[in-house]
Amino acid sequence: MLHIRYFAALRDQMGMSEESLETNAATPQALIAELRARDDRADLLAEPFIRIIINDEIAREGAALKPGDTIAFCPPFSGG
Amino acid sequence: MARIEITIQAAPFDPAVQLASISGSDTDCGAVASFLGQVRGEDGLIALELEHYPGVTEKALRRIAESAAERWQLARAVILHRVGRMELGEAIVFVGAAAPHRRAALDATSFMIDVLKTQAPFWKKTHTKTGSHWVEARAEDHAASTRWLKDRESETG
Repeated sequence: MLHIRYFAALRDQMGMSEESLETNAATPQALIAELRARDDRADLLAEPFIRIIINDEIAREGAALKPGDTIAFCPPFSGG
Repeated sequence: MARIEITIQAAPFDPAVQLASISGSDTDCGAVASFLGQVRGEDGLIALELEHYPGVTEKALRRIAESAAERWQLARAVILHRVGRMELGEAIVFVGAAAPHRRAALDATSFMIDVLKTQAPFWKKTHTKTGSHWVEARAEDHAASTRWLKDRESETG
């Protein structure tokens, strides 16, 4: 089970702010592929400008997922 | 060791009070620099709305201020960022640094606001007479942040 959060424009795009998903996805890429297979709206998650935060830390290249993790998909930041 | 203060709040704030909070008390400081960002009325803007990622934002801002304190000799580093709805002319963000010398205070202030734009999970939405839109990140903001971070990826990543 993964807990997934969508922020700002991605929340509008996905039509929800969060969901819990039974999945064996072990990487963000695998999860994105699974979400895209379910729903075309998730295509945007695969864009290179999307920032991924896993358990409150900005994910590095090659980050892994394990059961119980919270993964957040974020549009580019625009604060300040 | 610099004293760091990070605040995220919905309520409006008085920039003069913020500036006073980092001025005067540190007698070894000869310089205080600050930046104030406020809501700019353009393109029919009525109000701005700021969303953030609670918990993650605070950590990101603290890391940015700590990075500034590692790079420059600072006595104080302060970041205050509002969230929620803001009207035209209202303050959005205050960044300030107190240091023995002006160059450190000025550079640390530039660093913190430039890096904040690309490393802290805030999102702006504009409300105009014709509708509401999420603000896209600007390439020049990315360039300004990269200028500081290109050799320091590990500090704020």
